[in-house]
Amino acid sequence: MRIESWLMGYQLFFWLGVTLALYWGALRLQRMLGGSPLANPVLVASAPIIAYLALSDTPFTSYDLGGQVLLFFLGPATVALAVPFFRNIQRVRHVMGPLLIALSAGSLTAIISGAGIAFLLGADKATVLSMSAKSITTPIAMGVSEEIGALPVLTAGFVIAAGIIGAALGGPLLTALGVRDERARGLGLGVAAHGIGTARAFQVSPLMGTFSGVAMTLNGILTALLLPLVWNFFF
Amino acid sequence: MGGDPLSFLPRALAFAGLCLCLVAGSQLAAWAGIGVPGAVMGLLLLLGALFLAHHIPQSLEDVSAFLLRHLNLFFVPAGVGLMAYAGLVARDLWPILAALFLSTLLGLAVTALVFSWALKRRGESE
Repeated sequence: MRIESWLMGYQLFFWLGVTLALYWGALRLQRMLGGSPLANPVLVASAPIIAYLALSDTPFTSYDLGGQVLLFFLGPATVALAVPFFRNIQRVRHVMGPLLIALSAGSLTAIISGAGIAFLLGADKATVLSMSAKSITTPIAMGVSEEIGALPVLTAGFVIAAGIIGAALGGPLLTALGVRDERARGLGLGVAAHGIGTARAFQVSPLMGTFSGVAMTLNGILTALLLPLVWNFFF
Repeated sequence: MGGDPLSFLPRALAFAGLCLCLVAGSQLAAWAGIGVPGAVMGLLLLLGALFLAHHIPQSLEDVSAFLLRHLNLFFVPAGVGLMAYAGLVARDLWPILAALFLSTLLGLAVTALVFSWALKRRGESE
């Protein structure tokens, strides 16, 4: 028993250290690549860990001990979203009406088309449910996923993938559609590509980043309030 | 990192404040019986407090900026956890890829186009 708890403590700090080191390396790599959304730190840092666990047949639970410590911070970090939101909401107040209309339209489109396409192509119910929360910021999405009976980890994977796709392809798409207004471009990125899109928007300009950040948080809050109601209504 | 050994205290308090909002939010969500994540209720509580106070304490600003800047770190365990769903993802690969690409770009385009349209209707030029 004593040996086991010693081993658990060892594993906890070992994997915590490995995760921190890989995350630090992933940040440096992304900076070296000019902040490209394709070099996503979550993917870059978790891939070697997955490879090691799979190849060495190490059970996920031995990693998860350290993982739980990091996941704990997601709660306070979600609450902390209120701070930049409070600051930025003052700056977008003058266009609040159009912003809310666009946000509702985009949010509904993302939810319905995401779950709908997966459903129509014959995906598993867990996949469909997890897909419905893919466009909201990851910490809120994982909570919503739990509430609607989806798989939070799978949702996190979809959210990150959606963020990378939106951040990488969103700019060219909006340019092709003739949308030049930085506020509109920021809103689009925030609604569809959440934090990853917002990071991209801030690389372009503070105005675009501000609109993207507001859209991200507002979309997260509204979806968290409404999506569980909608799913409970249907199922 | 100044000379004062107690200089970390305001930040520790700010972090405790965030945790307090989280706990209160979770309780509130459980009481109300609405399926809203506790952290989102906590976010709304903090937002309400900020609107009442009309001001963000510097320590809260610092702690929030730090947590949000390193949000990705806290998702690495979720990224690793994805390996448990390799079978499901492989089975649903095409529906997943189609939904991710089409729906993300559709949501992005609809948001930006509707916003531009609503601005124009209001009489504001680009």
